[in-house]
Amino acid sequence: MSRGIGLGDVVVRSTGVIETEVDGEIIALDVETAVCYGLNRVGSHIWRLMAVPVRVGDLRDQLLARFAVDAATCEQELLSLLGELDEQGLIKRQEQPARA
Amino acid sequence: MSSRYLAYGLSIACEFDLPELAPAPPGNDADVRISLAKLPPPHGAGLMQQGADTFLRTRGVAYFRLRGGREIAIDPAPGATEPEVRLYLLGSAFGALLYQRGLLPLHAGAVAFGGEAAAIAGPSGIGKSTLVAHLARQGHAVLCDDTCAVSFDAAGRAIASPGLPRVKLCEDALAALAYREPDLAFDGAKYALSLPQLSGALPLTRVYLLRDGPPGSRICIERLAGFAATQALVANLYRTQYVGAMGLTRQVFSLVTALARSATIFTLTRPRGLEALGEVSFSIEAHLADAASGALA
Repeated sequence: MSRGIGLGDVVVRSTGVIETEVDGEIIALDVETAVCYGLNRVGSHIWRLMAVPVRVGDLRDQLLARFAVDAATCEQELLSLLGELDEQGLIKRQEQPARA
Repeated sequence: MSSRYLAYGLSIACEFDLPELAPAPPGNDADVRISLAKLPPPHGAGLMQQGADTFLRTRGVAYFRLRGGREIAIDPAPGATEPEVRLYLLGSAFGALLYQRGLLPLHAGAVAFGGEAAAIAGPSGIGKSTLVAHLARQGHAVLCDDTCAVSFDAAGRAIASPGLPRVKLCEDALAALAYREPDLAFDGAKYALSLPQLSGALPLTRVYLLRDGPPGSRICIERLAGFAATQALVANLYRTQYVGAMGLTRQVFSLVTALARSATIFTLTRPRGLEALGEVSFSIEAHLADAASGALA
């Protein structure tokens, strides 16, 4: 079992995942397994931000700027969602840091 | 010489007669050609993909080869009867052919309302055909029964094409609808009720997913959106298991989500059984009328 995702990690959407939008919700398909995933409004926003490699700490800051949520809750829910997406293989962690 | 038919918006040329289909005038170009052939023996059963060809084997009935969405070659099994072969040709083989052509076959019947189409989808035996037949009695033209072929126009609007000009019903449904059996063709399980059918395709604007509620429960129509709507449509595709086997997962994902965007998706939960049939039919009509007058968001 690998360690959980932390604020210092750089994450990006996996290749092999295609996505579209229905009623403002991102719907992603893992082409290999044919499993479909749906993201809620906030999840969809996070997904859009992960089109390019992004540092998790930067993701949190962008969410705090956009949604009315306190820092601790935001961080906890972000890491929980990223953990799930990572477990399902929908995102991957990058070794090298992204450029600021 | 071949006979010409029209189904699912396709002109079909067939070497033998297909009494279940709407006849079409002869022409030069057919979208689909159906022929009898001797095919190399299959390696397995069910659906098999070999390169661009899809093979479908129904044990004791026939072996089908579907090519490019344009050709169906049939190798009947020894002793298989013509009605049996046609049953699988017009069901499973046509379903796979629709996928091959880039259409989206919903496991649904459909009726017309105010120049648009409403699909009634659901698993086998839930009562789609009975409800479609009841709506037909109320004056709605029927587009299809059991398989609804969905395509998309240039603007991305979903379009439902007329399927086979009949509705297949069980004996108890026939009785509830007050039809008389002797007039109808029987395939061993269901009676085929011929209906006047629409000749043209209509925009598919609503899909009702039929569900069973507990006995005595109220009829309930609820809207699904986003992921919930998409998942529900996937669960109501015709022969969903073909999609992966045919290597069409990406294509069907794009078609299903396009349908979820273009049409409004509802669940229609009602008590199981025929007692509430009239009331269910009335609820849908009222719901459709609200939509047509813009009273529904």
